[in-house]
Amino acid sequence: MLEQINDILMDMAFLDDPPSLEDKLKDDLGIDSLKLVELIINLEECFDITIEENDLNPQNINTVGDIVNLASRYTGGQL
Amino acid sequence: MIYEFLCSKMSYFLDKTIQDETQTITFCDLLRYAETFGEELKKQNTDKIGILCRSNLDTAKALMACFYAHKTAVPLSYRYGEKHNKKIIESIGLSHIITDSGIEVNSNVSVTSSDNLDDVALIMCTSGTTGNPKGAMITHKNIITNVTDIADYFNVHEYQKILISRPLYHCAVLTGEFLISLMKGLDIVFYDGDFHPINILHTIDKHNISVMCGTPTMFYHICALAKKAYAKPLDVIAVSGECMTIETAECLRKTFPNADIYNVYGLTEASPRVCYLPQELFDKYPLYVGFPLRSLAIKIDNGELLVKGPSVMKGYYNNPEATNRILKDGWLHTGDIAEMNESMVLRIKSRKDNMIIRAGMNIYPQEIENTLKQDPRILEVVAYGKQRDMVGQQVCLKAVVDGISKSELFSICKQLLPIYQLPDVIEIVDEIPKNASGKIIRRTGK
Repeated sequence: MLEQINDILMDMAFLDDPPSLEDKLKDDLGIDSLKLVELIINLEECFDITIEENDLNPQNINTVGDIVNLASRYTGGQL
Repeated sequence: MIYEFLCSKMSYFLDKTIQDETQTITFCDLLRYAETFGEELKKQNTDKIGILCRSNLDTAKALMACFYAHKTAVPLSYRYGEKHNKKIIESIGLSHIITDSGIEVNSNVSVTSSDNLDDVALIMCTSGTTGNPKGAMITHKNIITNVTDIADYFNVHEYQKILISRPLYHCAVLTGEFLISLMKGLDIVFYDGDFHPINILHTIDKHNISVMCGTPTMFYHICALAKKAYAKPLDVIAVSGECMTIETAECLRKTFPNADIYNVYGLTEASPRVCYLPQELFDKYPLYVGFPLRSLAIKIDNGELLVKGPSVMKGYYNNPEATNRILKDGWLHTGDIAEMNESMVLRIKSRKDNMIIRAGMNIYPQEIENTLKQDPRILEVVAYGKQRDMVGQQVCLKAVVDGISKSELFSICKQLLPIYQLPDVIEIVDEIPKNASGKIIRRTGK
């Protein structure tokens, strides 16, 4: 599943290699707020999950690692 | 003049509030500040003053002070980057700028122009094909007419609270959200952060917001994430800036089943509002923008929408050529292709030119191309818009490059372009198709 998240990010950010967990979504990957929503929607569709509004605080979603943690909370940690 | 007009309207609502994360003031405080700071502005040796403040509330204060002092205000915004602001400062010739530190003066900047700014309240900058912004001169009469016409149809009241989440740099926000709220006595909440639908939703809940305006893209994303929409207190929504899609209209109605939804249309050069769809027609004609404001006349000429009336701008500042291209015999040529149905309800179909509208932001492909060509590794490049599946347009890039990957090209884009112009799709090609005269064929995916 980590691979699936990396595939989504590599596609959105035009990366040749998987990002590191420390990479910042906006500054390093160019994922602005518009693309962040698309990312969330892609994750929900990819893993068939529904992320609660309370978990979508932008202050807590800044890095690739934050995205991975968020998805893993809804997939039972099966990454 | 606009200050006296607003004063007379606001006098009925002096205890109404305007707030953001750090401060809350009343309408009365705003007027007092405008007059105190406005006296300082009167002493400045310039007829036009830039405004560059981090918060919308401080921008609003500066604007009102400019109106009081009869100085032409030129709003800037941090959101679109230093390069963008620099272009405006140089092309308009702003020697004085109100910032968070006070009035900054740079006597090295000046522009000689034959334009008389006595009747001009605002110079609102708008994108241009060359990448240099054009300054639309909006007169006091333009704004008073437009905000009065908006008040005629926009059914909002003093017991409501509006959330303003986009910069006052945009004419639609300044006139259609801020000034109308001052006129009708709404409490105002400014949200100054980046557009994050989640933050917007939290702010709506926290402040019990009942009125909000935005682009179809914004609302589509808000609706996509609003899981408990029934809890959202929004009663009135106005949508503008991009063509509505069926998907967004359905999403909006599903998420806000009881809200009054207005689909409206305008452009900076018209101060800005031109047409509105009455809220009772939204479910019947969601893709339409309705009827002209009462002071305006519209016609469709060779498919293009033309507008005439007292809220059409005076012209572009120091740019008579661009003015003469767009204003002919008093008719404003919008560049939008439109049609009317059998009930005379107007719909905007597309752009006449290549302008891309991404999340409500106007982007000229030539601006992206000229910027990227500064890098010698980019040999040829064409930018174009392509309709997204659900809402708005994507920015697409096709490039001939010298030994760089897609990833490296995107890195160059991140260095040179403001974030809202970053491409959504990149294609590296061996050559870009040209027509017989050698001109690049610009594909548009509609």
